[in-house]
Amino acid sequence: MAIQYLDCKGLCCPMPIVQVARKFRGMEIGDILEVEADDPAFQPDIEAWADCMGQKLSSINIKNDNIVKAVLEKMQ
Amino acid sequence: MKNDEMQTETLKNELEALKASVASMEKDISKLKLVGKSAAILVFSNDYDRLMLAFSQANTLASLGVEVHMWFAFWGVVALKKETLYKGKSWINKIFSFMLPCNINATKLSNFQYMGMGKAMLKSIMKKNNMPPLSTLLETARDLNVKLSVCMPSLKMFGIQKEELIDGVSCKGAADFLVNSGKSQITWII
Repeated sequence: MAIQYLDCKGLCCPMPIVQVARKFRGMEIGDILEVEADDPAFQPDIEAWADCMGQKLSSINIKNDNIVKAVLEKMQ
Repeated sequence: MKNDEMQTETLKNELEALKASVASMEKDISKLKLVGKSAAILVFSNDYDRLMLAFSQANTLASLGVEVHMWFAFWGVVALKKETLYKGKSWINKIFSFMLPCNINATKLSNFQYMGMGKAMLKSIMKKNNMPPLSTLLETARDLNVKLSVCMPSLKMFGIQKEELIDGVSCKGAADFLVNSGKSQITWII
């Protein structure tokens, strides 16, 4: 079970989601991905993406005012 | 005793009805998801901003598990050009080749082009905000397996040769696009 990190700070919609999707391609089932982004659309986008793709959004936190950190687990 | 039996029977029926209702709702929910679905995008425009929209949306759809088919027709074929060749063309085709953008980056804004000043201003704003330029959006689309196809008659109309296009572009027709559209949950003309 590997933990990977993805820094999407500074990227605008839809690039954070595109990067997450690309990263997931190379991950194994059970791997964890921690993503940080500061785009205001990131939180609703990543929730929609995880729900649509059947992946697990383990947690989503706002730290330092505008940086959103999402932890995802690859389920399929 | 008989009352109890009747109550149990009623409860059993209600339970079965509830199960059927939940199963039907689960089926409806799975229909709302996009994974495994497809999208057909007819790209008619050769405006920089409209092409940004087309590729941005295509990339987002691909990230959501959708099989995206982009078919470039009419002015849209310009988006697939990598260079302009003049050798062996008739004079009318040479004129068109000269007038049309030589590749996707050379396309104009649909508003505020101002002979290139508007586009330069927009590009500087995009750079400040870390927004990828159009050529990067195109490369991202190819990386995400977005299918790119071109309308042959459109190429003939503008005298564009296949050699002038980027790699990995197939030749498809209107019928193929419409059949794709029929199979898709999303069909757009941009």
